[in-house]
Parts: sequence; structure tokens; C-alpha cells
Amino acid sequence: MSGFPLVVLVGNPNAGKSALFNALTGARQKVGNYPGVTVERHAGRLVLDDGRPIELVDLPGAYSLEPSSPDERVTRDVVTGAGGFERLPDLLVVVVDAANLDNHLRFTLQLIALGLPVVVALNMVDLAARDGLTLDPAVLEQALGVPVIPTVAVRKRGLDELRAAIGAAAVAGPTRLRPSDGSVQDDIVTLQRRARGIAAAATLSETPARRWAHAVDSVALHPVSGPLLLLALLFVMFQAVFAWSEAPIAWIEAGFAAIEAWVRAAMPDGVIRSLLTDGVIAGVGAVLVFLPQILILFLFILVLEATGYMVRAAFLMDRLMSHVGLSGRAFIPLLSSFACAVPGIMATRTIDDEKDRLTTILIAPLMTCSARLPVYTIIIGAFIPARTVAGFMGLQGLVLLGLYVMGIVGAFVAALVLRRTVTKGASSGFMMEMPKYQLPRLRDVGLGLWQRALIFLKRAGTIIALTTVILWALLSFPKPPEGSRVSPVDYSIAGRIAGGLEVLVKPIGFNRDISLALIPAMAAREVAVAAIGTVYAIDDTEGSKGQATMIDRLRHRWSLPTALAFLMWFVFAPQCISTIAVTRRETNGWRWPLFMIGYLFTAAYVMAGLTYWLAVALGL
Amino acid sequence: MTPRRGLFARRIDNGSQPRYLSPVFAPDLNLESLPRRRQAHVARIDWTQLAAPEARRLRELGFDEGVGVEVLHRSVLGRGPIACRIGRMTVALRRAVAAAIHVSVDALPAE
Repeated sequence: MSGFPLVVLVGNPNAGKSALFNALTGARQKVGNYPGVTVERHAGRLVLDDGRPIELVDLPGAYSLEPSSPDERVTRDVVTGAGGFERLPDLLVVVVDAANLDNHLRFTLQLIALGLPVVVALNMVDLAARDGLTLDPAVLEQALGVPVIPTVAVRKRGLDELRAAIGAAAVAGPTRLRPSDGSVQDDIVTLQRRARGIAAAATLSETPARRWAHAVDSVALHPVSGPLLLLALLFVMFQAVFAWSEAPIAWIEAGFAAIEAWVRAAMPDGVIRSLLTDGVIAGVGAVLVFLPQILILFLFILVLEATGYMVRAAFLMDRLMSHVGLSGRAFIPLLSSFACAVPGIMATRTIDDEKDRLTTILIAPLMTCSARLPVYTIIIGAFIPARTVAGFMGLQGLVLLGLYVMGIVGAFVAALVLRRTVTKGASSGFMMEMPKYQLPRLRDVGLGLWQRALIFLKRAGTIIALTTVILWALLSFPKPPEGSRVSPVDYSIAGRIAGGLEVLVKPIGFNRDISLALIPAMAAREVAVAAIGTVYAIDDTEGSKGQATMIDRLRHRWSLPTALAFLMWFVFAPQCISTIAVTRRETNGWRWPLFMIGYLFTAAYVMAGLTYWLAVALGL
Repeated sequence: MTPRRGLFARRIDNGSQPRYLSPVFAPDLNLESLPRRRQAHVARIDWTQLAAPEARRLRELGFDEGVGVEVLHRSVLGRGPIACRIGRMTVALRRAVAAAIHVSVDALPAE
């Protein structure tokens, strides 16, 4: 990999860089992280027509070389060879939106001034034509002094020419930056005026743009119809998460049941079989069932982002968010957090205001992520009667909705308090480019989903499988002596730890089962269900298993106030190692993740306690 | 100005601002008070009213004297952010920032 010429794609946000990257590399790409920061690094292999391989890296979009977010810092560091993320690129492919030359050429001029070989991809020429713009690439080439290739990434037009230009430009030996004379990056305004001059010269004709996008916006951004549309979209999205996932979840459950049955039949009874069935298969299976829901939620988020609607949603939400000291920008990461807080927290890197970003990170875990669903589902299924209230609403669904709302209200209250205390600062602004509306490309959305699925599977395969195995071991050993009347779980190491924890959580109505489940659930919330399952599986001498029995056992062992307190606990408790890890990485230290753990556990304890005491007082 | 282009354009325009302003009578019009869909140019930007990062982002988005601007949408109940066209780009801004951008209205095309 390191021996090949390094070519980077760089340009303004919304220039179509990622589409061009996908078109050039296809599925041959690797998504990783830049060391030390959570900015995703997209790299891929490009084979030129003469067979030479090229290492192609897609850099985060930026407006200039003066970074205002972690994202833009990576871009600056890579193209200037600072930061040590990469060696100095052998070639910059600057991607510009043909319909927005005024703006994109300024950054191009800044990049050309660096002195590295440059090829300009004049992207989305079809959309520019649709907008009534006719451009002359030859004039641009002459004014910029570098090759300019017209492309339409999403239709794969101009890719052969671009590959040829890359091949011609990326031959030279080691590249080096032009020594800075201080005049290169100093004045945005001067560069901007030069850019406008060049754009005007390269524009052959310009008819008034077709305004269909404005027609869409006059509904999507309208004071009345805009919020209604957003609400309707969110409603459909959450409906789909539940409705569409039913069938695939059933397949996954059936698949794991079959595997478990096969292992039980194929192996003699013993420690190893117990480890495989009660530990590994049960644990991984309990987690894999959320894959459909996570993917459906991400499908919606990716499509909304690809169409350009997401920024409109941020626009609509800005007013509301400004009440709690945040900006509309925070809406996008918070919406992603309904799938999983980890990508949500990573998405905060586009927020330039430091205090704003920190607040968003701290409240992101309060959005009801899909890992809470199995916990909610099983407890609601066991304790909330399936009857309708007010004629049409299911009580179970209403309780679930209530838990979602509780999380959102909690997040807003938390933001309000945080913005006045620990993340106090001038109210942050909201300034965002609104991209053109575009039809999402199946291929780009598909690639995005595939990458999310891989990340999730890796997580399920490592952290979660490992914790369930450790829990199984802690629960299974030491075995009580023959004839002992102490249950196997109470006698085990985990049982003894839980005994200690129980003292702490007894006041808020938690019993021994819950104390036991809370320990492994530190790794991931969904493990709580698997953990309770494992506890009962090991505790159970008769050998009857399955979810039906689990619900029966829950009903038998837990009171309603305990169950409600348990639900409320999970609205707040920061029980997810991945979230804590990503917070540490994003905030460069342990201070904020520890603060997050502290405030969320306190909130969880208090709220679960209040719920329990209130429920007991009401005689539930 | 054509009275109605968007679905509900008329209702939004019924703000406190008069709709038919000429540069002569409104020497201090800014982007916040500019009527919707009225073509204008940036006359002056009051950088002192803006925080440094805000000012820089504004420059990066292409705000500069002489550039064509137009207010496209105003958000909820007239107090949220506004969406405006700058050059060939659509940008969302908060009102306080928009108020720092002084504009002069283009002559109306003959109708």
C-alpha cells in the first residue's frame, strides 16, 4: 500500500467527492479512522489503464485550509503533510461543483498555491447544465494552470479522462510543498474575488436557474408545512424501524435457534457445550437481532442525507434547539443517535463550535438507541398488558413512546443545564450551506449501509461475544458443592458481586437479577437481556428455555414498580462501553466521558428511584 | 415583485416589513429585513457585530460586497433562521448574523 502513489480527493462540502470516490474505486475501499481522531478515513485502490495501482483517499470536505472543525483539520493536515496521518500526497484531485464555481474555485486556488501537482475534476456538469450554465473547461484550465476534467460522478462520465489525467500527473518522484511566503492563505476575500473573476470568465452562458428546488423548499421549509413534513417523515421512519424489521428478526432468531439445537444435539453435555450455547450463541444471537432495526434506521438517515433534506431538517429544528443553547446542526447527530450513539457522536465532528459539540456529545446517549429496544420490548411485553386505551392506542406502544419522549425531554433538560454550567459560553451560531436536492444513488446508500453493518457486526462479534462469555464464566463458577441448597447463581462469583451491588440498588427497587444483569450491561445495554436469560438458564435445573419462559419468570420474580424503575433506569444509564470509548476519543481525554458517566448514572438512579417510589405509593 | 411564487408566499411576506421598498427610502436595509424573493446585493458587512469564527465562515461561504443575495425562506414564525441565496449557493443563517449584512436592493425588472 505504501509504495503506490498517494492521490487524495479534496474539495468543498457538497462537491460530490464521495460519489466520485465511489465511482473510481467501487467497493474496493477501506473505511477506518485517522489515528487519534474519529474522522473516518476512506481509502481505496484505483488501477490506472496502464495497470499502475494508485492509493486513493477521500478527504473530508472543507471550505478552506483554515480548519474550524476536526474534520477540516484532517483535510488541512493531510494536504500540507502535517499531523503525520499520511505521507505528503503525490497528487491532489480537487473536486469542484460546476454549478458553484464562485465558491469552490477559492479553495481550489488555495490548494493550487500549495505547490503539489493538481488535477481539477469539474464535477456535476450535468446539474450545472440543468441550472442553465454552460462552462468552458479550457478557460478554466488556462486560468488555473492545471488540467480540468469535466465529470459526472454519479453517471460515471469523464472517469476515463480523469484516470488518464491522474496517470499523467502522478508520475513524478517525491513531491514537496512550495515554500510558504505567507501570502498563500492570508486573505479569503482576495482569493474569493479572484475565484469569482475566473468563474465569470469560464461561464459561456447563464440563463436563470430552474427553480424547482425552490418550489420544493417552499413546502419543506415553510413555517407550517415544513415542520409537519418533518414530523411525518420521522413518524414513517420509526414505524418502518418496527414494521419492516419483524420478518428479518424472526429469521435471525430462527437461525440461531437452529444453530443452538444443532450444537446441543452434536455435543455431549458439559462445560464446553454450556459455554457455546448459553454463552456465545445466546449472547451473539441476542445482539444480532437488532441488525435489521439499525440498518433500517440508517437507511432512512443515509437517504435523507443523500437527498439534501437533512440540512433542511436542521434548519427547521434550529429555533427549537436554540432554546436549550444548541443549534440546528446538533439535530443530525442526535437523530443518528436513535440508531446508535457511536455514529451519532462521531457525526458531531461537523459542529464547529466547541461548546456546542461537547454538549451534543454529552446528551447523545439519551436518545433511545436501538440497543435499548430489546430491553424495553421484553420488559414491556412482560408487565404492560396488551390492551388499547382511548379506543385506538395500544398501551404497550404508548409506554414505549413514553420512554422515547422521556429520553428526548431528558436530553433537552440536560442540554439546558449543561449550557448554563459546565459548557457555558456564548450562544453558538447556525450557519450552514444547504446542498442541492439530489436523487440518492442506490450504490452510495448501499455502500454506506454495508459499512454500518460491518461496524456493528464487528462490535457484536468482539465486545459483546466476549462479555457474554466472561459473564457466563462468572456465573458458572465456582459450582456449589453437591447437595448444597444455595442456587448455582448465588454461589458463583457474579452472584457474590451482585450481592454487594444489590445493597446499593435495593432502595430503587432493584432485585438480585437486575444487579446481576447490570454488571455485564456496562459493556452494552442489550446484554442485560442476554444476561437475565443466562442467569435463568444457569439457575434453571429443569432445563426449560426460551423467551416465553423468560417472560413467565420475570412476572414471577419482579414487581410492577421494579419493572418500571428498570425501564426508567435504561432511559438514562450510560451503559455502553463503545459510547464511552468514542467520547474519550472525541474529547481527547477521560474528563468528559467520566463526567458523562457520572451525570447519567446519577440521573438514572434518581429517576428510577422516583419511578419506583411513586409506583409503590400509587399501589401498582 | 410578483406577489406569489411559493405555495404560501403571501402569508410569510406579511411581516412587519413593507414589501415594496426602494433603495432610496431604505438606505439601511439588511438581509434580515429584506423582503423575501427580492433580488439585492451585499452593500456592506458589519464585521464588528460578528464573532471571529462566524465572520470567517461567512467569508468562506462567499459573502462579500457586491455579491448578489436574496432571501428564500424564513423559518418558524419569523424568528428562526433564514435561508438565503448567495451567488449560486443556498445558505442558512441566524437572524443576528443576517442583520449584520447590509444590502441594497436591485432595481425591479419592468413588469
